[in-house]
Amino acid sequence: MPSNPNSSGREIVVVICVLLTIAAGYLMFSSGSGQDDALVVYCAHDSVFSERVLRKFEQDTGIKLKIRFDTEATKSLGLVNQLVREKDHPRCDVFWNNQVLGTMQIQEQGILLPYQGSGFDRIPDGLKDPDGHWVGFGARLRVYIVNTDKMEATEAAVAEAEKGNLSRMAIAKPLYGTTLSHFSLMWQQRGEAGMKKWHADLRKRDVQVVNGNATVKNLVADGVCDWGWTDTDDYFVAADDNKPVTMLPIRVADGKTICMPNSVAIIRGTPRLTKAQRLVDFLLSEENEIELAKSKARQIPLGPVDETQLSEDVRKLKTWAADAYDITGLSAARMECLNWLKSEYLQ
Amino acid sequence: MSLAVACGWTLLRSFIVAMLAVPVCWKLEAVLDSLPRAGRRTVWFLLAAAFLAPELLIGYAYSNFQLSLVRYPALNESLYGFLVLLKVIPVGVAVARFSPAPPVSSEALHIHRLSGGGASFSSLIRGPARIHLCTASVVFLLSFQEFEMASFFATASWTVWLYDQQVGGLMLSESLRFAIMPVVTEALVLVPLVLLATQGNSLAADPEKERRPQSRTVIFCLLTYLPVAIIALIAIPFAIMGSGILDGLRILLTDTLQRNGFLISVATAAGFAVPAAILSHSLAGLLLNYCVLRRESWKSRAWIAAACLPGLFGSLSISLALVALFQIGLLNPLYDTIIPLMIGTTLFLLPRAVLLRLLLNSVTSGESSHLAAMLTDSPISEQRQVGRRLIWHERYRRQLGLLGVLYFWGYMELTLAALLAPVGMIAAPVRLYAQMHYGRNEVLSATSLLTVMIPVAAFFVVVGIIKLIHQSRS
Repeated sequence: MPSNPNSSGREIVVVICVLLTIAAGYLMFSSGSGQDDALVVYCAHDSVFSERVLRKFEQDTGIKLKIRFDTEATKSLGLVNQLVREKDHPRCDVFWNNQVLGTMQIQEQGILLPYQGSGFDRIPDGLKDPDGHWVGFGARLRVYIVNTDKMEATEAAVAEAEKGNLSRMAIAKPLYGTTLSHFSLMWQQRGEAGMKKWHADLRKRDVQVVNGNATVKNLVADGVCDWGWTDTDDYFVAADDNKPVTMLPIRVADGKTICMPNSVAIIRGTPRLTKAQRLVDFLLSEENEIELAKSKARQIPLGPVDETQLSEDVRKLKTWAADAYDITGLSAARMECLNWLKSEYLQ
Repeated sequence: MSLAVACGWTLLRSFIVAMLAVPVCWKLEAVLDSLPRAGRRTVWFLLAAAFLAPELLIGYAYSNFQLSLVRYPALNESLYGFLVLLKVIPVGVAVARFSPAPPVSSEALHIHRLSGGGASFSSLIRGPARIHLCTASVVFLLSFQEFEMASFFATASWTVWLYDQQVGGLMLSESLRFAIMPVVTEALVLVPLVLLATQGNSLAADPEKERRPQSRTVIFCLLTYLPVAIIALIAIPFAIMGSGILDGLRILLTDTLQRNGFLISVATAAGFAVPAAILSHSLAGLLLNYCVLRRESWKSRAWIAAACLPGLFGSLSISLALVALFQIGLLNPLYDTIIPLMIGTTLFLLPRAVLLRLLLNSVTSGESSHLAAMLTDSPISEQRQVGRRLIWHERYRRQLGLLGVLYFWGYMELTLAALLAPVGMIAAPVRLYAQMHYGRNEVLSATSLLTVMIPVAAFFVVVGIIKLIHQSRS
């Protein structure tokens, strides 16, 4: 093995130089550029949509943000659990969840700080915590995505199809995200025994359980599956891509739809409270709800907005959302359902 | 699916991949021996290209096709296994080519058998079978640790299972408890591998290895593997991503937010990868020099093995261990900083740096470098220039190439960046991985291609500048 007698000395010099550079970079980054003042945001909403909103806030206010996004596969649950883990030494200032149930869970653990700002007032009761621990905004609906080349896109046709073999139906793994909320709701309605029986039957009939709602959308849009459960924002990605798809609202036992608002909350112990409050007010503002409605995700505004600025798609979703099931009482059902699902899918 | 099942499937798949890969690696290595220098260089280049093709991009490119296999898990598994096999064979060839020569030659074994000695296990282990064992072990480990493609193919894999659990917010103690099973499995392969590697002859490639003409079967093996690998791992993914790239580029360039986010993520990934590559390269040099100074004693080899061990366990195991380490006591203030990621990437790259430096040493002649250095002292300016050019060629160009490969690996490493990067720092692969799960589109394809091409182009620009500086000094 050839060796240069002088090379060891040279390698040591290189190692020392690199280490010094890293240390200098770290010191500059951590103290010199004011990064410590940046507001830390944990965001479970899809980065392709939420980053634009958050960068606009940065631009408008000059407040720097450090953002941690969730992954599609573990949507929202990852950040919720991380906030629980960090309870004693919080790193996050503001939590933007893409649904409500996980936020309610961390509220019960005393992780959230109540705040009733300008945004709190404009969101109707029932879509926010009365004390302001969290507030809902910009919602999505759970929908059937149906491939129109493969089957008739009516609620009756889907109901009929769901009675038979389900190998052409796709759902996301219910351990995470809105599918978990959907299952939690069914858990509350059907009870533990009923839910387990229903789920076993679903699996027995070969339903395709895939990694996320986006994969459900892809499977149906490409005609690999005929229909599936997904969220409106995922559906619109396929629709905008001119795929042969349409959507129908998923209705639970009493005919109610399933509406999943985003939620925002301030983390207790934040050293940047004023900035955090500004971000919360920004996210809950009419201007932001309209922007979210205009985005490709077509999120449904929950507070009063100028209706003329809403597209036909969003107006249709608003009428469906008006029929929504009250999900604010689902926290306990979610925990029970999640514990059972872990035993089903992870053990 | 439980971790035990996921781990069992990964184990079985990796075992099959290793069993299939070893004879192919063996044949390919034999062909390399028989080739003239130029041909050998071309084959090495193609092998390196196949191995360096990023798993993230391969998985993404095949993701739409994979959807059509959702009702055919066996086909899905076969396609995934096939791609993994193609991907790991180049490393197997390198291990077969540059493993220390076994203490007992095949001739000695043959004579031992003729003289009535049986083919005992120990004689096999000390004979040429040792190289096959080393090859199989390394190929098995690479296959066992594969993550990105497994994630896109939604196949049963412990890496995907544990990664999803970790980012899904599992308590760290639980993650570490879950990691025990795969880590023990890896250790069962690694420990014998390290023992074999520390007890052979010189770490340098065997210069006496004879060049012999090869049979048609062997040549056929080479002619089949290389085109298939290049088509499956490079041509198809890049063709898929290349379609509609102009539209994607147009949107990316006009959308300030996406463009800026993308560029920052590229800079972030490069910012971690460059120092980690330099560190691992230098540390590998120090370790190998130490080994030479100690006349390649078993102790010096054990040092190398110990330093390489964390990296050999794979990026997921390193990440979990570092997350745990930086959450305790004095190290806790450094938890949400760049330090854990820097250490993790360096440890991950170190065994690769050692292997690459061994490869480089085997093709670098110390005498020619020395003669070139003497030329630079010549009183004749033309000779000095020739000397500098030769030094550039013999020494710097190869070292920079090696650094470039390490930098590219560090840059494209997803798991470490996802689990160890501080809040607010999103490396390019992590950003891509998050967006790729929403499905394929033109912008994402353009972004994916640029994510690979920008650091490669930047590397060549830097090399060009260094070359200019080097030559201008003459």
